[in-house]
Amino acid sequence: MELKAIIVEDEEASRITLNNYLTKYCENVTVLDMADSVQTGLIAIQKHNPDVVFLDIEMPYGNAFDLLESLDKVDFEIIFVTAYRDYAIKALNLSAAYYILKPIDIDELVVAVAKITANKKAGEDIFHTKILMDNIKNSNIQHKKIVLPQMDGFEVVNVNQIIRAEANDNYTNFYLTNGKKYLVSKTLKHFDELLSEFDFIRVHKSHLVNLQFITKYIKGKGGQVKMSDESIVDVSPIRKKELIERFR
Amino acid sequence: MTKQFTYALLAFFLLLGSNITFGQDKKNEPYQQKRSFSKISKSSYQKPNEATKKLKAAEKLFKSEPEKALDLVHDALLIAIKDNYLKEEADAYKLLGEFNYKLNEYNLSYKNYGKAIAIYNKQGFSSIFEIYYNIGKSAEKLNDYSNANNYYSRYLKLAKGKSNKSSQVKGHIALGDVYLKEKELKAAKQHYTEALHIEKKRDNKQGIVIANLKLGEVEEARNNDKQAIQYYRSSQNTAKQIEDDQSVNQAYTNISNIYENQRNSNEGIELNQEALDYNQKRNNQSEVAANSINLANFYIQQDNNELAIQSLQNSIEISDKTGDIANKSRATQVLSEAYNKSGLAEEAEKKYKEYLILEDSLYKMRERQLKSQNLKGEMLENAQNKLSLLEKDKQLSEKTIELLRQEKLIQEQFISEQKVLTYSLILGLIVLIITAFLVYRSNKAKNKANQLLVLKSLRAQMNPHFIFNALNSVNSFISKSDERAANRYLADFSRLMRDVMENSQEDFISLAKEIDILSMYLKLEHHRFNDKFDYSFEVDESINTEEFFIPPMLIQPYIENAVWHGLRYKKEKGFLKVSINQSNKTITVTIIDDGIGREKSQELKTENQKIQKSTGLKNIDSRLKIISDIYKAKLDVEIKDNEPTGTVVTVKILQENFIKKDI
Repeated sequence: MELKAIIVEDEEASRITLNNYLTKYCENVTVLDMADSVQTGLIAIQKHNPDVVFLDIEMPYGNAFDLLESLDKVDFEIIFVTAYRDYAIKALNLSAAYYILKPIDIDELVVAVAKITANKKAGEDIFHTKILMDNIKNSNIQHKKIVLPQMDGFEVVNVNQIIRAEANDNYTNFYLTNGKKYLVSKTLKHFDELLSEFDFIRVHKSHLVNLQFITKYIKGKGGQVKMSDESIVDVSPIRKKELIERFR
Repeated sequence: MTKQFTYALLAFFLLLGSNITFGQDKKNEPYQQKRSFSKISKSSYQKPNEATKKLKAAEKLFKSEPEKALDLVHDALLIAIKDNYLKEEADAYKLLGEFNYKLNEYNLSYKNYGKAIAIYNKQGFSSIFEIYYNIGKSAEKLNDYSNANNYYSRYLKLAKGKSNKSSQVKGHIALGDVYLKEKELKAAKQHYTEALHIEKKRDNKQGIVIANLKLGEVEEARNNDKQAIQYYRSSQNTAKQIEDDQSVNQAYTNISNIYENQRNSNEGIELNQEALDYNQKRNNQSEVAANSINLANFYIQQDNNELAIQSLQNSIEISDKTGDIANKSRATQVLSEAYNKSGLAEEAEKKYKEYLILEDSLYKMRERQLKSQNLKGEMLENAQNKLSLLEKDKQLSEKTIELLRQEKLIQEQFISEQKVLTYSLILGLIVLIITAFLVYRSNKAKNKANQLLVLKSLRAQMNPHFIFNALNSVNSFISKSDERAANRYLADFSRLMRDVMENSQEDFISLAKEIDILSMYLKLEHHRFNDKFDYSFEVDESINTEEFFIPPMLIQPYIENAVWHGLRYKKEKGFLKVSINQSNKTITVTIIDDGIGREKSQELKTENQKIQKSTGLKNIDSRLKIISDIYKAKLDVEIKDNEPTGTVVTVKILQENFIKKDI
């Protein structure tokens, strides 16, 4: 499936690099235009109505989020391009947005393009960007949303709806306040990193719990915690101290 | 650290405070002590003459005005005791002893001599040995013969030691007398013989007289009348030669007594007649009267009362003339007896009555004498009492002195204890200070180590953006399949990174090396932004860049800032000028860009961009702070706006502080 693409990137070398690799390794992508700033990027997007925009996060005179804010509607997929893991990465991960790191890894680029191609084929709604923008605009940490990718699609939940998450091989089970349970196709480690800035704590190798929903601590070697849904979660001895510290 | 230090300081002041009070105690008390001591021991040598003078005056005055004499002695003693002048004190006691003796107060005399001797002995005034004779005499008078014997013996021994002949004789005679009184006749004779021997040897007639007399007494006591009379005669003969009538008469009396005891009236009459003749010739009226009585006694023995009466009347007549009541009384008594024996009862009674009257007046006379003597004695007693008071005083003062001495000892002990205390306190203080210092130092060292650690972590950072961007550039060459460019760029980048990494291990690197890094960095940045700026890099050739050391990566962040926040946003091509100059021991690095300037750069940032902070300059600020903390280095950074646009950064490094590598 053909994808119309636009590259927004301030550095010429990077633009050329990305263009070259897309041409060479992503044959279904046609780069219609290349912009070197938010302003030129906006014009290009409006002009070409692309399927996908390769968007550098840091640029002079406004960054990627400035560009997105300027748009009424985001009806294209975005592959963020960034030089290094910075503050934006967490937001991207939370909304399960696609991104590649510079210097560009061709494999990574190919995978990202493939995913977008697949989405396009399936006719998926493009809602990551909306959630991403929500999360970025919403400074209240408790109202932030998380995208939980599943076998058959995505589930968007409020972070404060999650009671706990439990590891299940390379998947993760999420237990929510509404009693629902989701099997998510990412590791618990991934979510531990994402949710640590919220009130989540990894009490066990296999358990990540929301502190808000702990109702009781049961003493023991490591002990256990009882959650608001009456579920009981083991606490490993090495995490016990950290857990108790959080309640002080 | 500050807490520990505060404690140490607190303890220090506490100790200091207590030390001060101790010091005051120490100062005051012994000072007073010293004063009170000096009061006693001072000036002893200023007044002895006065005491001696008084004693001499007393000696002279005694005969005429004994009371005044005693007062003088008292005064002298007072001075001597008060001023602790022992010789004078002893002298005073000695003189008192003499006075006592003369007033027949032998007990007091003995005591005072004893005191004098005690002091003499203590002080080693051995030259004064006459006093042993004196005290012996007092003891003898008190019938304390054993002590008398002791003192005389010592006296004799000292006299022999000094080869003083007359004293030796005196000693022998005195000892002889004591032995005689104790009926130790053999010993007595030995001493008298010794005395006679000495006197004969030195031809001292008077001495010979006495010695013979004494020998006579010994023989008399041994009932060797014949020998006794011989000695008496011998004494008498010598006495006659020197006209010593007293001794002559003593001999007559003694011999007469012997005859009387033997009831040898013939010899007695003959002897007394001889004596009478001698005394008449010598005009010794009193003796004549006495001889006449003795004569009369012997006549009565022979019942020759007429001659007796005649002799007695003769005696009375002489006594009347001389007023010798004693002899008259005796004569009258014997006369009464003679009348009685001759049957003249009336006469006898009349004489007896006369005798009684005479006895009475004699008694009264004696009483009067006794009274006056008693008066003197009382006086003496008063004086003695005063003296004993004085003595008590002295004892008291001695006690006081002793007390003061003990006090001083205690004081000294106290002071030494205090010294020990003070020293130990000082020691403790020193230990404390050292400990505090060590703690402080170790803390400081720890601090420094920590700072160094922070410094290391800070300078290890090259802006990751730069690194990734550099790698991007390489990637872009790869994507263009420009093998040569990719390789060149990678090589340059590698060289830069190698230099940065190597030098990040050092606290200081040579300016030359820093210049290498900067030019490499500029080259790479320029390659990336070659459409944005051109640059120049100038180094003053007079700078010895190899010998001058600076903290690594000190200047790079300012250049980075100029490119990224100034030049990069500029519409036209900008210019970056980096220059390193030297003036007045100061190295000045100037980074001038004609970019958009700090203010505009900040304005251009959108809300979304402001979230991201610039770490480069913060990093260098911390580094500069730590570097100047640890190395006391002088580093000045000035950032100001360039005209018309852009930024000027001036980094001034005081050369002195960085000239050596081992700072």
